[in-house]
Amino acid sequence: MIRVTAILVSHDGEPWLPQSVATLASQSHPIDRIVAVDTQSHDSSVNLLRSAGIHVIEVERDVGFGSAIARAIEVTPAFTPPKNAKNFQEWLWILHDDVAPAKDCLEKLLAAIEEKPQVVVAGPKLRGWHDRKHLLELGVSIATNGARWTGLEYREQDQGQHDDERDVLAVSSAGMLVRRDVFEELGGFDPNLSLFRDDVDFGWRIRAAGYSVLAVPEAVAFHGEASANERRAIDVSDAYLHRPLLLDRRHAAYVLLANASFYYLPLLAFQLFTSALVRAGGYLLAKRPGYAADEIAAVALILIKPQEILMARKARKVNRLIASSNIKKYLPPRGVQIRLAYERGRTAVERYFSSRVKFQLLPSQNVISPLDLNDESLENEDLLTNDSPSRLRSLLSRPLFLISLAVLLLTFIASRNRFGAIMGGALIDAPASSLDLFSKYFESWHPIGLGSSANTPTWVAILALLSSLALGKVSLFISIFFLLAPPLIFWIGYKFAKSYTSSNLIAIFAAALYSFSPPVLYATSHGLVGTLVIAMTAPLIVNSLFKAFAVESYTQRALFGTALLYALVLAFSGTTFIVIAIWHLAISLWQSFNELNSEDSDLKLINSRVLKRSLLLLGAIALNIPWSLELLAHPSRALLEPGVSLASGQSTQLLFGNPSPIIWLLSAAPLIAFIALFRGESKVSARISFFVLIVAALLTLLRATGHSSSQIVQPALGGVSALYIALALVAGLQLLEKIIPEIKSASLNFRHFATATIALSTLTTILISTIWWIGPGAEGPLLRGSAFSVPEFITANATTSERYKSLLIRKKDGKLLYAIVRDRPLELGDSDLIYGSSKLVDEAVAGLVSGAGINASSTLGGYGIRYLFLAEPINKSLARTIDGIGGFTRASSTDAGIVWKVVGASSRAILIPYDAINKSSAEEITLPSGEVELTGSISRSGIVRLAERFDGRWRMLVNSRSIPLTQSIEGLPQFEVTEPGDFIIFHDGTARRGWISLQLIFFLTALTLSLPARRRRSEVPIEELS
Amino acid sequence: MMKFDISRLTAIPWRMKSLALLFITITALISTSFNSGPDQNIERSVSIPATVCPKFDGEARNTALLPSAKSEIKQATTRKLKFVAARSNPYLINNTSLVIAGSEVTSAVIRSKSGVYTAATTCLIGSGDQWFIGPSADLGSFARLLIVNSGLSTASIEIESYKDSGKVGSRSLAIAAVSQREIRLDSLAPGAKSVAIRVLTKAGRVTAFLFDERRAGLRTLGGDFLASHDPGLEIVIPAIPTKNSGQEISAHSLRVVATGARAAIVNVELLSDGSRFTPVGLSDVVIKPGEVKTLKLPRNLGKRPAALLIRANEPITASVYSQQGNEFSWTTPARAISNFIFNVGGLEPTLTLVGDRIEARIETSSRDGKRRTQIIRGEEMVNWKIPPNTRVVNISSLGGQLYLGASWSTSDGFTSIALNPGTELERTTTPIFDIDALFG
Repeated sequence: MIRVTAILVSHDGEPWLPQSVATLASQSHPIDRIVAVDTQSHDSSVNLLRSAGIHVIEVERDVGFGSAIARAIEVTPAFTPPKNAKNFQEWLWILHDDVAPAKDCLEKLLAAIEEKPQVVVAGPKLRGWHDRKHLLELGVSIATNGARWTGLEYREQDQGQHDDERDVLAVSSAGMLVRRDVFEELGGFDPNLSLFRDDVDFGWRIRAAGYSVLAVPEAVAFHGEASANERRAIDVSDAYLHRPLLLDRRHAAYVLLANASFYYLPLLAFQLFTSALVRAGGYLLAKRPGYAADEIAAVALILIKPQEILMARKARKVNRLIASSNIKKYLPPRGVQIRLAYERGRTAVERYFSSRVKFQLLPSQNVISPLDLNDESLENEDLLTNDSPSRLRSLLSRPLFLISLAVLLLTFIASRNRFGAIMGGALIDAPASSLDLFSKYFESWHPIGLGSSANTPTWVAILALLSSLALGKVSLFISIFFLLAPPLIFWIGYKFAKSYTSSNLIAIFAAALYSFSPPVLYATSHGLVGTLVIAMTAPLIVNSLFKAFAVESYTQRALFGTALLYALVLAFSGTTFIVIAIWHLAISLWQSFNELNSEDSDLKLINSRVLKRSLLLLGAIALNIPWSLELLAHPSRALLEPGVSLASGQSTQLLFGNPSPIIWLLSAAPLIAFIALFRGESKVSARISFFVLIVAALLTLLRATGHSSSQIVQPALGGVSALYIALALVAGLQLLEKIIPEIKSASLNFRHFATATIALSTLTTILISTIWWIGPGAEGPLLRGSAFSVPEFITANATTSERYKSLLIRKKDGKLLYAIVRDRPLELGDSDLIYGSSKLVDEAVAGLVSGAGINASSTLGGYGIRYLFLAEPINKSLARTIDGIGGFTRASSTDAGIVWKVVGASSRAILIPYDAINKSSAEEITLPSGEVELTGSISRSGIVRLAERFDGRWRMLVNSRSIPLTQSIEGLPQFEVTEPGDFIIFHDGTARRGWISLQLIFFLTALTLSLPARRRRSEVPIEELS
Repeated sequence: MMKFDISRLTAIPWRMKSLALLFITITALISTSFNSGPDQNIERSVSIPATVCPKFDGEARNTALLPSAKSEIKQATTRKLKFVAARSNPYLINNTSLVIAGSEVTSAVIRSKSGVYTAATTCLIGSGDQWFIGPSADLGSFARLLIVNSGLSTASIEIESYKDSGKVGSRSLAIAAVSQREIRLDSLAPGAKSVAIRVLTKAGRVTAFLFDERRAGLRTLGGDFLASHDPGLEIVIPAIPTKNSGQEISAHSLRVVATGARAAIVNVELLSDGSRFTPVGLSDVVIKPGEVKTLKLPRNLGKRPAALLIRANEPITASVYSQQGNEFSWTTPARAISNFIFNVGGLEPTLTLVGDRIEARIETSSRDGKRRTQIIRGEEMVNWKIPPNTRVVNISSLGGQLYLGASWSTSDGFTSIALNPGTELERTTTPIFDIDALFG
């Protein structure tokens, strides 16, 4: 025989109480007794309850949920078992004021526990208050990071998919049916858990005491989750600052630490702390610093009061019958937790992108639904097909699939020599790990060539970050990047084109034209990362150029998002950034001029535009600090793209979108832009494309010293060409969107010819460019394998503590090239850190090859160059010249080349004792050296000289005292050491680290401000939550 | 202040604006194309390497005519890298050959034995392939080849020798670093009446010189340097001496070797006292490959130094042997020059200028510092006597190809030299710093 006492706790529950009370009254299984506990509600909750004939016990407002229940039990004596009653039990049905049980809820719960003596707690399936199909809980547990675990997906709808009775760790206190004797035996809810997680803790304790907890899917209750969703004030005594999240997280940590096995405590504490940090970071990015503080404070509050946990653990020991390991199965497995977290994250991102407002670019722009391979709109023919074709036949009948396949196939053919680690053209060997790239980014001194203190460009850090996705293997990432670039650009081009045209076929052609455009093909065969990145982001850049007309309408998020985009552009293609900056400047001048000349000129508007434009452009520069500081000192470096600088073509070739010297690369985009220039609907896009072209042409007048070379090169215009083609395509798409309906309805006229010309030229240029790409373009220079050809003994021997350098001379393409190599091959990123050699070394090498440099050996030797390697093909005359110039002794002659030893070459670090300086041949003492830093002890006073390029940040400490840095007449850093002792020489990277920290702050700020803000739970419409 | 009426711009029809934009674009592209395109970045630099002045063993006096007393020199056989100032000019070479720091003034060495011979040659740097043609290796010949390795590495050379019947053989030699070595010609082509020597450098910076000396027992009869010359299809031999201390030199002969793989057909023209002709028997002379052929030249070559123009269908090289009494001289081919400066050191040679149309400026500076400039014009050949007390002569061609030689006689004997700049040698590609050098 069973008696049921319902205990309902109310706290400002007026919005829900009428329905809750009504459902209690109409239960199919009558409730024997209903007791309500009110915590001094500010609304009419008490009246509502009393008018329903429910006995109300009033308690203080800050009394927690568990204490309120305990008070109700205290004043409500247990039912006296009737005589002869078998198996008499009293059950407590615990209810919140925002819970409305279904009519048969209690009946189903009681039916479920029938014949199950081990079950002492049962709970209904909880569904949303507003969305009644929204499944909230069916049993509950706790994840090891403290999250409330229901095992359900976001906004999962109840379709009966979980309708099987299950043993669970706990059920929610909303609708919990619990046997009174057990409840009292275990002391009820933990009074330390005034609100939230008391149910999980209770369930855990029930389990530990050897009982069962059952979730009953047939029993349904609807829950408003008013407290968790911040629909009412949290006034319990231990709710600091009335913050529900803080309370929830703190209690979660408490539950885990109080109940888990002792051995798991350190791991749990660590996990709680790290996950709190991660979540806090997430909240910061979502601009919810309050929530972030809640996360940290919750863990901190627990950890600073360990005695609470100790006491709680002691109390739980009393009733524990089951080992913790037996309860572990009711906790979600780690893999499941990760999978669900991933799923939720993915859903959140998808939710964000699918729900956000489309960027309205131009009034005439057509926004078409995103691509879906199964979208019926893809192929009108499909609508006419009556039979149901096979999946393969269906795919094969779709041009998008076929062209995508063709692009992929052509890419594989063109990349036949690029499977594996690749290098060549602008790209040099990738380092082994992304960590190497990171360290290159953070280092202030780069031991390459004669040494460099140049700031590593931002793209190195970005590449390092992206390479982490390929398990830190940079070469793998680079190979995949170049292999997938054309198909990816095709896909991006298609998505971009679809936003301008309703015709799928035209969008496919536009995408093909874009992905087979000269800059893309040239970049894939010549290792131009920057051009490819710009080609991938060109649609966003194009949008921003259009949007520049109405910069005043930028929201904060759009402003910082665009600044981030421009920062990416600046990192990968300075020339593209220059074009963007000039465009903004031109628009700004034009608009300001117009505004000032209008009768009702608005100065505020002008200021707002100037401010926002400045933020966009200066923000991009600030985000590239410290590399942008390098650009301020050497502006011409902005004209180069990442990697080794390559030769450019004639500026007239830019008309065909071709930034390269290869004449076979053509694009029909200019022809399209030309036609579009004279149509009203497309003239704006066409004009912008021609504007870009004019700026590009003017940029060809500038010159810069190439990366890793002293050669003067033209600006790299790959990115600009990609942007130009993207703009021309937009113009073409706008044109075609307008004239195709006209053509369909008109008799033969010039429009037909114009359209045919566009189609024909598109096909022709794609064909010619593709033939080049899969033919000569596939043969290099970007190829599999390393072309680094310096004999290994030269680099291997340079790893000794002498750390000497070698000079390598090679004749290539009619030019006599030389470079300085140390103990390892040059790696990706290094090329952007070397700008020429030193004047003295230049002169020495020039004198060496001409035979006139009688002091060449002493100059080179002074710079620590110990070997001279004349690589194949050997110029015999040059070899004889070197033989005869003096100061160079032949060391070997092999098929690879001839090696000379430089007579009297210094080691990387030497001590010239004072007493030896004035002698005719000064004695040098080699100081053992690391790659950058040196430590050791000096036994004599003298001059310590480093065979490195002079830089003001070299530091030396002798006996912990700083020694002033001076510059030798050869331009080398040196220190005058007056007393012997222990020393350390290092390059001071404090400034570099400081700038990088600033960059990180700028980046996080911009990222945070560009991301959507997470709403407070109180701001979320209740219909969305429950 | 005049206000710009923006409405004027906005009033322009939009198609006109588009047309204007198109025009600007095309103009910008075309106008900038003149300044764009692949940069070759190949620069060439003319530099002046150090040259070697030979010092053969023997009792003769060797004097170097240096650019100036401040010229930097060092012994060719020292490992020291440092050059020091000569401090005197002319500079007496005592020990071994000298290395002279690069200068645009060509240095020369005068070797003389009092009352017996005088000989001269320009200081130079080996080109890696040097041909010497002329001397004999028979009884009475004391001709020697001097190999100077001024580099710090051991040099590897190959010496090929030829005689009137063709190639004799070749010999590989290793020359120790910073050393010089004399090799008797009679050890290379024993008994040969006329010898051609080719010194091919395989490794190392080697400069070779040849000094021909004839002896009767221990008595030296005469001697002269025999300069090397690169083979070619057209050869000019200027400044063939015709007088020795006022006496006519009566015996001249031409020695030619065909250096190619095929026989050469040679035609010789003589420029002498304003006439140009082909001597009898010197037309269409066939010379087998490797054969060293001696051709008789007319006894009387005129009153003033003469010159030979030799044309062949295959590469050849040649020299002229002139003898008066016991003393003899070798006149060797000259290269076309645009400018030549050398220190005559007080000598008063006769310059012989050869060219189709001669137009040259000669600047002389005397010991007292006076400078004199003279323009010389003429056709085919002009002889010009250098004034007394001249220290430095600077000859520049003002048009056309110009070949130069100088000849003179002293109380010791007579000699001539082809004025080939030993210092215009290196016109090199300026090396460019580029890490592309690291990649094969």
